[in-house]
Amino acid sequence: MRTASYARRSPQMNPRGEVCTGQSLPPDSELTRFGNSWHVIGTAGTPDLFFPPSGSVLLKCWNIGPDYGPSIVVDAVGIRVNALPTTPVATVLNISVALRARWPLGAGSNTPASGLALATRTSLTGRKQYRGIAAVSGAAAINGHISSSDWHVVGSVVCANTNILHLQKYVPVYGRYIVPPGGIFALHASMSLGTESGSGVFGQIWWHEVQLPNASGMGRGQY
Amino acid sequence: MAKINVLAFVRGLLTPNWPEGSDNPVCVNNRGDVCVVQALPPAAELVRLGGSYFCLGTAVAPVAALPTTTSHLSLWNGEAPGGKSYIIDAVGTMMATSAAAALNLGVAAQLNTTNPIANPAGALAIKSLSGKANYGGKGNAKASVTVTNDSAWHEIGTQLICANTANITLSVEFPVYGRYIVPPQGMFSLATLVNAAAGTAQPIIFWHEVQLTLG
Repeated sequence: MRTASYARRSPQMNPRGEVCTGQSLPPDSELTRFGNSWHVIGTAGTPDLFFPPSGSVLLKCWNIGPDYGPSIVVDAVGIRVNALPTTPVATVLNISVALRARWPLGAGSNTPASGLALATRTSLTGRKQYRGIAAVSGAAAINGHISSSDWHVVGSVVCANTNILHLQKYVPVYGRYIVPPGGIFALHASMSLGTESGSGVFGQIWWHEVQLPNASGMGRGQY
Repeated sequence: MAKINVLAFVRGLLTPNWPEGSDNPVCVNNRGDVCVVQALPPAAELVRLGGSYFCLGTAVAPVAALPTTTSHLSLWNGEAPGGKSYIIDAVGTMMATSAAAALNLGVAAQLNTTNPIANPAGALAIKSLSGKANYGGKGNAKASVTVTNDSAWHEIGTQLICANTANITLSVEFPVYGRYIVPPQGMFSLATLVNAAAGTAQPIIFWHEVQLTLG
């Protein structure tokens, strides 16, 4: 059935009563157009051999917004190798993430350390400056903010070549992780052999900053 | 063809640019399909409700054949009958110690059909996907559970082939998009499948706890 443009008509349903829809924009466009969608790539870091990470991590992202303020909705994460290891070897490159709520009051702080160098956060809509609520640091120490049980691996890439330059892994997580105000999201890489310790490995995060209803106390960051 | 009793604006090739806050009809295309856009990433609206979690199992030796009565990680729904169901969003596994051999890494699952299932003793840490400090549900997750064999074990996803013999933290994750629903008192189990049963692996389950009417 075809209807002329500018007419008024009823939407169509199938015989089961389901509304037929057509996606008007690519999936991320409607949210991204608001201008609060960002990407960060960290500085060169050192992957771990073991899991879970215990020292410095490739990227650490704090939600420093106010209580009941916007949340950070993680859309995708990634890692890439940008330097050859000292001894080129075939490897398995893995990406791990951790999500942590604000510690209970008096039990620690999720505030970024003063003077901490922040990574450049770039807009996904071409905005010139970052004006959000994410403080992101590359090569940041865990500093007790994240417990070992918060970590899990979200993807691997296998490389049988001895030259692993530009080996990379991209993992869309589709908003599966929501960082409330006061919360932390961290990302790290591990490799299957210790000889890659000199590699330059970079972490990436793509996220949206969204005011979410407080159905479960999301805005408080501690509950 | 049935119609919805709402009048919509038929959008041909030109999209409207209505002013902010104005009261306008929804749009349909010339076929009558409602024009929609996705307001949030697919998982975000459900995760924000606070009932979304993951559990990373403890390291267990993987197996080279489909399991029967022993799972490597089991998620038990502790809700009373009529309570929340657990919607499985994704599953995976990670090599905790290297197999020291080339690997084909995969995952097997079983959703029990002989319900109710008794609560497996012991509990693994269940972590929030929205930054909640504590698990607020009634479920329980445990490694190495003796399960009822409903003859429903099956492989999920495409295995990851790793020619490297050093494969610590090699992992796979398979989105299942809610294909499995664990009813109250039901149980969902995973096992790590490999071609050479060596090393240890930690399975993982991502799920949402949702009140559903089950048929």
